[in-house]
Amino acid sequence: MPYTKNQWVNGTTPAINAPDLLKIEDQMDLNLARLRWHMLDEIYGPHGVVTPGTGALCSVSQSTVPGQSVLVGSGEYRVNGYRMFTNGGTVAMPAAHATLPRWDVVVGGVAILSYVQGTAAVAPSIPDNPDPFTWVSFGLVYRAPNDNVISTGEITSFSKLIPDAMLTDAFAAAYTPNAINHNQHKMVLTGNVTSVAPTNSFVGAKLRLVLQQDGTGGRTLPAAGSWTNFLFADTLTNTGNTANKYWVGEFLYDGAKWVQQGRLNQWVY
Amino acid sequence: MPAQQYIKHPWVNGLPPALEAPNLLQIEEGLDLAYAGGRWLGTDRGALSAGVVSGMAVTAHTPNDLSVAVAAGVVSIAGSRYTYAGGNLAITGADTTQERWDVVEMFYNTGALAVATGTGALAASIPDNAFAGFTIPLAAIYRPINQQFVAPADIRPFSKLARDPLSLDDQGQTGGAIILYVRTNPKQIYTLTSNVTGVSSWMGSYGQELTLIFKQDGVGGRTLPAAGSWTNFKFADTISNTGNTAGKYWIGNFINDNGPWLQVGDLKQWF
Repeated sequence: MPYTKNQWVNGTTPAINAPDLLKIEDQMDLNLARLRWHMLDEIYGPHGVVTPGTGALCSVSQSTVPGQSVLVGSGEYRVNGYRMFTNGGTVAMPAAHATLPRWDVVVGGVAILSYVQGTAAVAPSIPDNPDPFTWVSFGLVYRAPNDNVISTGEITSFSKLIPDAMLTDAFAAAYTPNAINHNQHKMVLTGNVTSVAPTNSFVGAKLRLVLQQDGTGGRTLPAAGSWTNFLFADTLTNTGNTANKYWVGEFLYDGAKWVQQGRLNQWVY
Repeated sequence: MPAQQYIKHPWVNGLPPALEAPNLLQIEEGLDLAYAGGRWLGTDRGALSAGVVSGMAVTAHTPNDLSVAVAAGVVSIAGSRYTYAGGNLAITGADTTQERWDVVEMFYNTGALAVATGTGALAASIPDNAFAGFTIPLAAIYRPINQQFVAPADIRPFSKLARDPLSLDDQGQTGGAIILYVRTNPKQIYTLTSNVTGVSSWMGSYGQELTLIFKQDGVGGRTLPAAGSWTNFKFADTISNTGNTAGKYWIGNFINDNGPWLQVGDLKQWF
């Protein structure tokens, strides 16, 4: 069963007995399984559940009518670089073992929701990922012996959360993209930008700025003098800044200046 | 593998195993590995990939002595690629009265191997990462009391894997309607053996980068279509077929905005 720590009584350490040992082993198994499932990533590309905001994306929960299936919530995830989105769905789980408990893992792959069935045992372990580059884990399901009605208490969240490769910044007239957490930032202009000053700049940092006009367009970028520590090779222009147009620029920080790399593509597509 | 799989103690006739000191020791070791995994492997450098791309296995030296052998391999270090030729790494002598855990690590900034030597104790823990965010762990090594060599059983694989930042995915010779499968590699090269009639992509993700390289075959003269035949691509430049003679290259860089691929910088066309 999902692990719950022993309760201390009146500040006294609980006595250790065999059931405690089982719980401790469960907890350890969970942590080691998390390492095995979640750390084998980025062989080809990002791998995990994308978290652009808040909310339990791709979460696993009890079926509306509890039974041998579970629900997976909607959300976006990456399978070794493949961008996948599930509208949510039902995963039919395999039948419980007649006499022994088991751990199963609810997983997502390329355009498929599925499960990895564990091995039934008196003291079952969480199964390994049979193909770490194919399956992203969403949740663990404890399968009590001969129990084919999966309940909320038997489901444990078990997903690796990853950020998007490009950070979406909320509009700010005084724009301060954070160089240390993402090297790609996007901002939709819903007003004029008055200044640009990256924070946490460090030597060797790269910054790609993707700016897009909103549906109104006509939002302006400031002249080079209002970009803090930027060194431009091109002249900044607001020509062509009609609705939904993009502006893309790449920069490298040399310790003093954000030096323009390549060419600015300014409101041209 | 980041940490070895713990094997639970078997029950006998439906009864849990007796709780004995050796069980406790194994459990504590497993917990320590799990906890250390979180501390060592959970640190990443923003969106930059870091970890072992291939090889780099840590094994006992033959004959067993106060060193370990690190196999040749490739690591991704803060988005750059570093190739290690393989070699031996000296390990500090074991404590004569207490056990210890050490960690073999590689530094991000130099590619240098090092050993994080733990603290001797009667029940030792895996040492913390003193340079969190700047090292890649390769293996944890258990150091029994006064054992002045490293045995194979003392080594716990303990690495994070990463993708190769420099690899180029050769899609072979093609033409016609090209579908880009951008999962496998963000850098793709196609050798054109006929005219390209259209270009589209499959499942590009938000913020994903793509470097697309076309190369003329030995005949040359293979053409790329106008921008209108590229599905979900937004070009700042006009696509040109001028100069598309045998063996010439065409390179474009793009970034995905949850659908459209936006040209980054300028196109390098048939040079």
